[in-house]
Amino acid sequence: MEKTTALRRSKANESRELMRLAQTGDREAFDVVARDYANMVVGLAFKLLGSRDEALDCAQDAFVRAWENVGRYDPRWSVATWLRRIVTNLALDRLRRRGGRVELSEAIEGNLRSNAEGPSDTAERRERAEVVRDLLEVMPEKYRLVLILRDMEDLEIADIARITGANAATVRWRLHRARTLFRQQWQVVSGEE
Amino acid sequence: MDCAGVRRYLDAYAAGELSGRRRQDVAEHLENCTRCTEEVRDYAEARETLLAAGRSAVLPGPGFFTGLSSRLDEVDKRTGRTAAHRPVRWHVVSGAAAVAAAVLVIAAYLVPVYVMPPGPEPSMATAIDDGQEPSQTALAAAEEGAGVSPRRMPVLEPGIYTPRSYNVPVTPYSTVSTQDAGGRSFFGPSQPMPRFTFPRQMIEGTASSQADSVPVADYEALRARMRALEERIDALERARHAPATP
Repeated sequence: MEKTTALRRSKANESRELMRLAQTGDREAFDVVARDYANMVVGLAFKLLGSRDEALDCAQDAFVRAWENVGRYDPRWSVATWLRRIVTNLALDRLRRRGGRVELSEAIEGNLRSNAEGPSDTAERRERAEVVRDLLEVMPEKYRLVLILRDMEDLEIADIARITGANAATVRWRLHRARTLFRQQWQVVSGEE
Repeated sequence: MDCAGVRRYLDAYAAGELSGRRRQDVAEHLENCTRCTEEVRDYAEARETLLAAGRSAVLPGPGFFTGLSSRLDEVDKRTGRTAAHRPVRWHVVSGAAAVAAAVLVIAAYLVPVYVMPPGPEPSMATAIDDGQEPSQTALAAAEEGAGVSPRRMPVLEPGIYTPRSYNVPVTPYSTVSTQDAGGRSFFGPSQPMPRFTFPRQMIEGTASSQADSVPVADYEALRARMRALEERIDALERARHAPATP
């Protein structure tokens, strides 16, 4: 665990140094940053948008936006958090343009099905995937966002606060509301209440 | 801590987000409460489901980077950056430019920076028990243990309006403690009912030659104006106390 933390910290410092070079006009340094963080950015876009093609488009938009505004990067932020904020804002813009409808089935179903062991497991997982999809789709955007960032992306509260522009207390409050809603609805749907 | 006090934190406990005294209080309560223990288990299961759903199988292929490179080239052409980039050689920057930059940096530290407060949020005074999100200031104050519940706040009631001032009685709520982090008092049952007095100019914005008193029929409009004034006051206080953003 300590070694993982040390490695992460080392990577974060390395990324900051690359961004510092990118800010001086070094495109190759920025290309390295893009390669290092492409999986993360694409993954987050996919969770927010639910469509593979849209997620890849949105991720490209995010890196283009980052390069256009590389001079505005503040090294007090980690590069990962900065990129997450950009892609989150772009993904939310796309969602609002399409009326807020989120098609999460592709994202959720695919991920939950990845470890299926047999026909009954597949059916159960598909059912759970549909439930998760439905519950997230009807949730208000601000709750869905923090739930995805915390309980699917496993980000820290402080990072979520920076990404969403809310303070930590508000993030915790929204997270509590989102989890409560999700849990209550989950119990209703699964017949436990 | 009883069930009502603990429920607010059960999801955070299940996710391992609590620490210190709060974590200990919740753990102690769970030792003797099966219902809350089940709730923690439910939260943990929900979180596992979401985490499993979050492990993305979508990865960018080679086409992604080729496409991205073309788009970045277009940005470079549009902004005048050349394809073969060389880092800026700082030693060729003239001495005058370096001095000018230093003067600007010093000036930036000497000039106070005012952070614009975030956009208007629901006022604590009108927050209802369910549905409406309390203000960020209120939530932060509640977390710091100022004793203010973000959910139960006094609601403005109709009052008697006299010339030159508007007196609005406040209905106290039993769950509200006496003071918030900013030192404003919220009124518990043992406190005398206070009256807010707003100068007429603050309500109406400018000096007016209109009649001084407010007809009862205009009560709803007055209430809306007072709510707007309260939000302006909250925004000003937040701006005064808000730390500079990084």
